[in-house]
Amino acid sequence: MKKGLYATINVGSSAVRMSVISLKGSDYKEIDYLVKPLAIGMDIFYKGYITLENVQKLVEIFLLFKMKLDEYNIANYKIICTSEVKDANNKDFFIDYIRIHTGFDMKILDTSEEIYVKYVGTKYEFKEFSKIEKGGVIVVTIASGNISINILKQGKIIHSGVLAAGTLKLRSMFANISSVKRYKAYDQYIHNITRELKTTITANKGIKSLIGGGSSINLLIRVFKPKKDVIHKKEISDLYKKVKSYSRKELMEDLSLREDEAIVIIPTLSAYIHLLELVEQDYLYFSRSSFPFTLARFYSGNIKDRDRDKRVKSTLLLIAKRYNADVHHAERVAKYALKLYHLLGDLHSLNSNEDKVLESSALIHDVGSFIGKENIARNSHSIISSLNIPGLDNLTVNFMANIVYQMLKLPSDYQLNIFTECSTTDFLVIKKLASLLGIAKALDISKVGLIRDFNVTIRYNMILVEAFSTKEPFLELLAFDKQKDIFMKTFGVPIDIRIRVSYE
Amino acid sequence: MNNPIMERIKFLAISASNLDEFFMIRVAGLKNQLSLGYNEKDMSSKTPKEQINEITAYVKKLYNEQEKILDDIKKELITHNILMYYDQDEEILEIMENIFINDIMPILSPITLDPSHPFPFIFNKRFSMVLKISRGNKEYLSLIMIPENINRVYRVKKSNNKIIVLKIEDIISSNVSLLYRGYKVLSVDHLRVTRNADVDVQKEEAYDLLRSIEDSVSRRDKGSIARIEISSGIDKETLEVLKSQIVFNDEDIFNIDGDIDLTYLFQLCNLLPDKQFKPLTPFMIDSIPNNKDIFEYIKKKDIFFIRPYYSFSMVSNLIAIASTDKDVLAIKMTLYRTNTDSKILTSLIEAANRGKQVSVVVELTARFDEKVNITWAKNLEQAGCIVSYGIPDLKVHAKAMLIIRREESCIKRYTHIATGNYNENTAMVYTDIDLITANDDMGKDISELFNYLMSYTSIHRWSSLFIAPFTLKSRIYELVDTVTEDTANGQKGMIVMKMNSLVDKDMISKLYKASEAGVTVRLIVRGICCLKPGIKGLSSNITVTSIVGRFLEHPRIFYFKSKSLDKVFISSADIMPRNLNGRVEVMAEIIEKSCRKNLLDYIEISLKDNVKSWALNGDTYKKVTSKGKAINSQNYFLENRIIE
Repeated sequence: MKKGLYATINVGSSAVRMSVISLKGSDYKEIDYLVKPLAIGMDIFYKGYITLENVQKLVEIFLLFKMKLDEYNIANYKIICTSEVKDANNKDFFIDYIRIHTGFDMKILDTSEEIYVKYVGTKYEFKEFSKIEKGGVIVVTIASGNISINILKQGKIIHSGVLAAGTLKLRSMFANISSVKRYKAYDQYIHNITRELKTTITANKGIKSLIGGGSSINLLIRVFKPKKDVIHKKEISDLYKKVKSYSRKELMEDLSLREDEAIVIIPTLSAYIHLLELVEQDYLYFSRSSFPFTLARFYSGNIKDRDRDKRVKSTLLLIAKRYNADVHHAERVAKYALKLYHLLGDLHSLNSNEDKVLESSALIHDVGSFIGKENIARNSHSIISSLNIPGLDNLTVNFMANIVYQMLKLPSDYQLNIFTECSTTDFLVIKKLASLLGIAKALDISKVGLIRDFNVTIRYNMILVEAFSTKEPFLELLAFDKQKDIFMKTFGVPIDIRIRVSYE
Repeated sequence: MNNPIMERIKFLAISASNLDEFFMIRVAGLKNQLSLGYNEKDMSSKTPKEQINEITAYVKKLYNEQEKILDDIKKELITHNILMYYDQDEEILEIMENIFINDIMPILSPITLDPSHPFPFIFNKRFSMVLKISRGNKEYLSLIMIPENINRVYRVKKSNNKIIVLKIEDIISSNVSLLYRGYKVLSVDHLRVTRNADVDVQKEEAYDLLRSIEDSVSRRDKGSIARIEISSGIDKETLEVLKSQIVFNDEDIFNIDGDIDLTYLFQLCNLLPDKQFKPLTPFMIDSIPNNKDIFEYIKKKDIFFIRPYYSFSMVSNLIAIASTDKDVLAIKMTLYRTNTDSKILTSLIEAANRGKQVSVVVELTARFDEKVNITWAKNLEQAGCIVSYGIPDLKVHAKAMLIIRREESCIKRYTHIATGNYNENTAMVYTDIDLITANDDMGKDISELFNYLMSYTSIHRWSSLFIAPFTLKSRIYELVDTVTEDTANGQKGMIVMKMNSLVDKDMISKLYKASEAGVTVRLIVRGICCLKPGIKGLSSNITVTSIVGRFLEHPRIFYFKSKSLDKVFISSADIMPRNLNGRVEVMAEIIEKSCRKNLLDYIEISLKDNVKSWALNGDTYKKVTSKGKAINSQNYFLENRIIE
């Protein structure tokens, strides 16, 4: 955990925000918060790129924010662009231009990381979160570019995803419709995209609470001025009924809003009403903390998801289940893979974090069979690389997809060009982990757990796996034979198996 | 008449200087409206033309009054062996000739009008002499503009030890033949032109604000005519020439029998040091450390004091300590009016030189202080300070300073909020309130204010301070409303407001409403007050007084007391639309118990003043008289430490 001062700058769809926090032990305090409107979301949604005018405006804003960093003599800071930026065609130019003119290196946040940080932030900043989580909660962040959703129940993330229905995005989608009936388009669209969540909610026997976050909450706070951290659905509905067909000017005058707020207030109200109806609840709870504040706490290490590994594991198993994979098999493969990883540490020489990647890959290695028996390796790769897994960044998820692909691919399979996408070092790591995963999978290829455990003996020029089984595991031996060659090519050491059958 | 003679001289000079400013801004503004064809009634229910006529009539009376007072002073000075009336005996004539030849003549450039010497441009407030001269049977008009860098008066000691005060116009008149050799001087008259000096810069449109204001200030001397002061006896023919050449009309003319431009009296107010007010020796708060321990002190206790009774050096010292303290990271300050030799700004430059981040929000359009502020802005920028000029179309009138210090890997903010400027000179003559605090909420709010003023942020949230033009007006209205409601419900309520001006219509309506609900409203308004007190059925519970004493009453203090409220605030804002809507102002509650008590004591004594107080009755002020013990509040605060 960092001590002293930490700052984050967040380049969002409609504004650039900076949060400076002071850290002392586990204590923290936001000592400064800056906001400068900048509509780069509009650029991206309407034009597909960030205009030079806005890139240069961002340079000006960053130079001002730089003075703030100097004011506090802050060395520890991070600059994050929210995920919409990655949809800009000129994102590389954008990042490069800013770096050259300000010295700031910006990082574009992965969607999954964004959802995860928002979830962790809410968990810490919302009082009694763990109590609410037991009964099921939707943590929703309505931002300008998207709506991120985490559904949690009894400590598990049962759904995590992003809806393409950010308030500014919606406004730009329906910009050509008259304000008199534009709200109908919002309603229809939001209803449509939230419908699929209903299945998840029903399957999990209902969700008891809705917690909101993001810039939309700041807007609602300004409009409703709630004394506590909760707004009743009726207040939102009543206001929506009154103003849903207002023009921008009327909204600005009637609700004393700034122009950028007037643009997004109707889609914001519509989205919250739909979500509250979805969970059949009357109260919208919220956290008043800004996203940059949460980012600052997160990246400074002030907040951590202590159950992160457990939570990631349960999310991966839920994903495996959703793709009809055998969860018990997945858990056994993960267990064997980890054991091999730890017993063969001297051989693979990988660092301590990579066991988590191996375990995660093992838990979802079988998802490709959901599509069919053909091209399992490629299908698994496609599915895994498209996942948003809270707690895992995109890089890790891609790494996992490549490991699984490398492990499952057959000589006849369509060849993904992994090698050209990765550095030589990364490719070697992928090969090592895929080889270990291949051996682990072979040990439970029949998916019934015939092999209960194993030991590994490392002898001169030879690795011997001594497996304990309840009966002769013919399929496992066959699969092991196939993996031996891959292992040999990866590590340059032969591997073999000896079965010890203990009859029941 | 109770005041020492030197102070009376000074006051006369101040009144002349203020009258100049009144013409340069207010009268010039009305004349500007007229010249644009605008002649609608304003909130005074008078047209610009009607207002100008009334002002002219009133100012004429004022000139007579000034002349009479000056006459009395001159007579009294004789008893102190200072002669402003004198016989031009040989000794005097010789002295005058010497001064003229050595000091004056070399720098005079008389212009005698003829086709090759057209009428020159007469700059704002430039004292000039108009002479009618002749050679042969031909008459000429000649003009002498007295240079700005020359003394208006010379003080000489005669052999009988009497001091003679010689005015430059008298010295020139007496020796004018040396200047116009070969000419006969037929008449000598005096002339002074006052011009429109309002600087009009659209901040939003100005590409380079500093440059635009510099340009506007340099044009100030060349504004349109607001007033012509001219000797009473000037002949008609000469006057007609002046009217056509300078371009003015009869309404602009003020015929002066005595001396023109009494601001020269500033040069005389130190003549008799023992006939001045006793030198001011402000109190210090002795327990305040004069080193970096001051920060620990402030964390334990707010520093609160009243200028000029307590020394403003407590603020200057704090900034000086901060400028060299290694733990101070940054200093931020607003600058509205300051002195040319400001110790505070020198400390800020020192801080910047030591690598601290120093940010100064300079209000370049502080009327008549533009030049000083431009100079300081340039000096500060040169030293590496971040200088910004505030927000377009809003004057930054708030007086606030922030020191950011790193303490045990955290940030601690020290805030100074005042009702008066960071001006060490006026801090000796204006009464004002200062608060230095380590209160976190106030520190955060002032930090937020600077973020806003320096354009670091577009969205601001204030929790403990009230900032115009955002939250101050609504809060102060709300406070009056609360006291009114409580009182209407049968509880006792009281409002005390001390300010320079009360003009805001809505506030006046609210105070009328409060009065009729039974609230006791005590107003101390030094200057313009648009509320009429003591009117049955409207304002019977309201009294308005104005304290006019040795020091210029300047603090804005607002006190509200009722069943649900007991709060006292200080502010930089007057209750005028321009302050509440068009300026950045701060209002802060005085929270710490001891400071609150000090401030309430100050209010109580001020309300009891019956020596220097004037009560508003209808449209006129009358001197407050009381049979009880005489209380001169300013003297009381000079003699009694109300803050330990």
